[in-house]
This record gives sequence, C-alpha cells and structure tokens, in this order.
Amino acid sequence: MEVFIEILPGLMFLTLIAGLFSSLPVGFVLMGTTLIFGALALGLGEMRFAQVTLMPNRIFGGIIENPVLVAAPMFIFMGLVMERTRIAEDLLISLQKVLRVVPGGLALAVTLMGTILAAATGIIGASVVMLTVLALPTMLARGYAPSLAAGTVASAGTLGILIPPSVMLVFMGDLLTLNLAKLFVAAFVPGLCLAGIYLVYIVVQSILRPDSAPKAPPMSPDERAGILRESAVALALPLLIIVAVLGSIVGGFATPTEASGVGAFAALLLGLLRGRLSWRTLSGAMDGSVRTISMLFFIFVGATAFAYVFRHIGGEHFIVETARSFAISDWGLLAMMMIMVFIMGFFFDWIEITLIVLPIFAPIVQIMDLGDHVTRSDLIYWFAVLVAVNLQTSFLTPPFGFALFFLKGAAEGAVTMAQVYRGVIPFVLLQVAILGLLIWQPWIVLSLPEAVLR
Amino acid sequence: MPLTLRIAQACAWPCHLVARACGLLLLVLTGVIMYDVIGRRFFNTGSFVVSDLEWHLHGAIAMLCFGYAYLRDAHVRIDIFVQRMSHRFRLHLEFWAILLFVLPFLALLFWFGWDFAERAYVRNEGPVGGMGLPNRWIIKSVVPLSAVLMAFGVVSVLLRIWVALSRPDLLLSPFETDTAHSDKRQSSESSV
Repeated sequence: MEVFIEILPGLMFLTLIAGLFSSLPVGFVLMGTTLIFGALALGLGEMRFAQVTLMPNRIFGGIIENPVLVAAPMFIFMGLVMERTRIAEDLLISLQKVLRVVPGGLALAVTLMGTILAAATGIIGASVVMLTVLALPTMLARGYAPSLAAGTVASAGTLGILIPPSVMLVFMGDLLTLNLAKLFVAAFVPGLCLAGIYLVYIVVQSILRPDSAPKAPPMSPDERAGILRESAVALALPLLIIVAVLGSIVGGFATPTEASGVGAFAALLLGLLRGRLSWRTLSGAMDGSVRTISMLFFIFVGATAFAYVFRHIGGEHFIVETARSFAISDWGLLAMMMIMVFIMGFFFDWIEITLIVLPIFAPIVQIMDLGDHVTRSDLIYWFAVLVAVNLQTSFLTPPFGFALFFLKGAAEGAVTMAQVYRGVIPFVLLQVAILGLLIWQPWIVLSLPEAVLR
Repeated sequence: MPLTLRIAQACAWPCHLVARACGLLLLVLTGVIMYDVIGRRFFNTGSFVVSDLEWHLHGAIAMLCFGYAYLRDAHVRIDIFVQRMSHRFRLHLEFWAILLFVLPFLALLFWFGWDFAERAYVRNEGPVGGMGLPNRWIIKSVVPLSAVLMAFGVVSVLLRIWVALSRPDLLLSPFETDTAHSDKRQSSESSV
C-alpha cells in the first residue's frame, strides 16, 4: 500500500499521457484522469473531501481573477481580426512584389511574413496552415524546389510561438509567475536571431543553387504603376500594429495586458480604415476568437484540476525526486528537461506542454542553480526562452514534427513527405545551433530586458 | 426530425446564444482597455473599478463558451492514431467518456462552484482592499454557470452521438460544421 501511494503521482502522469492518445479532447482526458485519481486519493486518505470542494477557488483565482491572462483573449482577437480583414494576406503579396529582385525573394517574403505576423494565429497548426495555403502554391508555381518551399513555410510558421506578442509566452509567464513584459523582451532577440539566420540561409541557398529558388520575371510597366504606394500601405499597417503593441510595452505606456487591448483596437481600426471590416467579417473574427479562447481555457481548467490533485498526492515531491535520481548535476537536470520537452513536442502542441508539463517542471526549475552561468533571478526567464526555442525545434523535427503534418495536410498533395523532411532539416540544424548558442551565452536572452526595463 | 435531435438542438441553443454574447464582450473588453490606457496616461483617471472590469470580462469570455466550442468540435485532440480507429469506435469512445468522466466532473464543478458563489453572496464579498467592483458573487457565479453551459453542449453532442450510432443514415457526425451552421443562420434570418 505504501509503495502504491509512493508511485501514485507517476501512475497519474502515465495515465494522462496514455489517455491523450485516445484522440478524445485533451480537456476530457484531464478531467477523467483527475476524477479517477481524485477518487483514489480520497479513498487512500491522501486528500480530504473539504480540499476537493476548494477546486472552484483554484479555477477562479488562477483563470478568472488573473489580470495577466486578460492578454490571451485580446491577442487572439487581434490576430483573427488581422486575418479576417486580409491584412495578413496583403502583407505577403506586397512582400513578394517588393522582394522579387532579391535571390530567393519569395522565400524571404514568407519568412518575414511569419516573423511580422507571429502573433496573428498563435497556434502552430493554424499559422502553418495559413502560410501553406497562402504561399506554397505560389512558390511551387514559380519553380522553387519543393523541399526549400516546404522548409521555409514550416519554419516561418513556427516562429509565431516565440516572437512576441505570443500567446504561448503569456501562458508561460503566468504559469512560471514571471514578469510578462520582461519575458516578451527576453524572447525578442532569440526570435529575431532565428528569423535572421533563416533569411541568411535562404539567400545563401538561392545564390549557390539558383535553380532551387528562381527569380521572378521582371514586372510589366502597368504592374509597376502604383505598386510602391500599395506595398507601403500593406507593409505599414501590420508593422504599425506590432509597433503599437511592442512599443506600448517597452515604452512603459501599458502592461502586456493593456498592450493586447491596444493591439486589438489597432487591428479593428485598420480594418475599418481599409474598408474591410463589415459586420460579417467582424462577427466571423469574434466567432473564431471565442472558439480558440474556449479551447485554450478548457484545457487550462482541466490542467488546473489535474495539477490540484497531482500536487495533493505528492506530485511535486515525486517529480523532484525522480529528476534528482536520474540527473546528478543541475546541468543534467536542464538537459533532461530539454530532452523531455523536445520529445513531447513530437506529439503535443505548445498548449498541452505549457499548461500541463510546465507547472510540473516549475519546482525543478526553482531549485536549479547554475552558479555564475546565470543568476538565480534570471534563470527562469532564460529557461522559459530555452523551452520556447526547443519546442519550436521539436515541432519541425522529422519524422514526427507537428508543423510538418499540418503543412503536408494543407498542401493537398503538392509536396511529398520526403520533400518536406529534406527541406526542413537545414532549418532544424539552424535551430539547434541557435539553441546551443543561447544555452552557452545566456546574455543573448538576458541583456535586452536588462537594458530596456531599467 | 426525430425527437432526440430536436432536444439536442434545444440544448445547443443556450451555448450559441452565450457564444455570440461573448464575441461581443471581446469588443467591449477592447473598449474598456483603451479607455483605461488612454485615461490613465493622459487624464489620470485610472481606477480599480476599470481594472476589475477588465478581468471580469475576461473571466466571462474565457469560461462560458466551452460548450459552444465542443459543439463545433473546436477542442484540441491528439489525433495521431485516429486513422487506426473506426468511425463507430470513436463515437462509442466519445459517448462513454462523456458519460463516465465529463458529466460527473461538470456535476462536481457545478456543485462546488454553486457553494463557492453562494458563499460570496451570503458574505457580501467585495473587492480586496475595498476598492473596485462590488458584488463578487456575480463573477464567481461564472464557475457554476460555466459547468451548466458546458453540460448543455455536452448533452447535445451526446444525443447526436446516440443518433449517429443508431441511425447513421440520419446523421454521420455529431458536431456542427461551418456550413451547416451558416445555413441554419441564413434560414433563420430569412424566416424572421
């Protein structure tokens, strides 16, 4: 019996993982696991009934009465308004035109689009699908090598989880009790590093092998007319939104929460100014937002209940002990967590990993000490950014990579899986290099917040 | 249309209504935040009431549309093994998961949530420190209300699964699709 109680948290975690593969909604699996193990905990006397009845307090305190999380619905709304008013689509078309003289121009346009519109969807699947549908057919029609086209779309589509304003960072910040503004700023440089190194790779590849990324034919005179003004508008609008959001955070105007409202307002205003914001469009954006928001918070409710029971049956102790028994040093702990996140990224979206796994890891991160390498107060920010970059790598890594399946699905047979795998490998290697660099040189993550938020 | 489907549709109705309302609340929240930011920066009007209102609205939007999202099959699934399961097996799985896990969980959430909100009402709970929105029982009622609305959506799907299993000729998928939804809306608009 004693042994059974000892391993109860481990069993609970394994039950959850096994249940997730049933293809039932993730929230259902969380609720089911919580019920079974909550009943066991009650039966074994590990939990008292009075404690069970406190569940609504947890949900209320963690999810509703939480000023930081207000940013999540607002960023999602902002993204959907930008998508439905076709601000995103215009951006890609203009970038394509502007960059047509540059080697690999179209691929560069896709990467820049992924960078600028990082916030527009927030969910990996959605942003990869959007880029695939918008850009892949054009790239193939222009004679791009299918592998390069696929690699570009997949890697650009996953940038969104890292580059602020990112919904994932909002949740990470909340669950690890971080200062959200600082986390946003910390993720900014690594995100730009990744985007930058992608751009360099695409240009080099296009110069070395011009047939894999042919230049677009020169424009006809009537095409040229008015293009400058049109592109300027299409480029300036989304940039304006990003500047409004990031500017108000960094400039101290607003907290990230308020910045999200400013962003949503800016997106609505721009849609209106371009004459694209009909009632139909707006109600489509509201409907889509409500669905995405509910999906996220439903898992959050399930994960809150799960974590509540998990903690009461000694989950935290179990995790820390298990981690300690596997890894001797704190560097070993870090390596182990990174490997686990990487493997889980094969199967789960950031939503499950951030909401379910991160709270479980949090106690390990709290006790970690890397001496002079990273100060204790900064360590958790550095860790959060590492997890984000790591997840992004994982989503791209064959054969399981999450983003790859979405790309293949949305491409409707235009590329083979082998081409996708081949195309994405250089990007994965670049990602791993950056991840290594960030681990080796923490200042890349930590110096900007230091400089800006003083 | 069999009675079962009609009941399912009736159950779905409150979910749809609340989801539309929450969509509008997104606009309201945008407005409130703008008022807060501009007011505090330029007119020194920042107040606890406004910042309380922000998370009140957020709480309602975040918690009240679970049932609607389920009706539209918007909840995330890890579907890498889906191809290996038959359609009927998946329907059975969903049916029993709802009956054994989801509805009991929601029942508990409603029960405890009701006590939670009632306690706030009886004690006349207000904001911490006395500044901000009064009557905390209103926002605390979101917890039991969320369970009720989710239950409506879940029961609606449950009934449709029942029909899909017993009369596959009538209904293949228990979930509402985009087209079916907009058709319905159009027809209801034209009938008005």
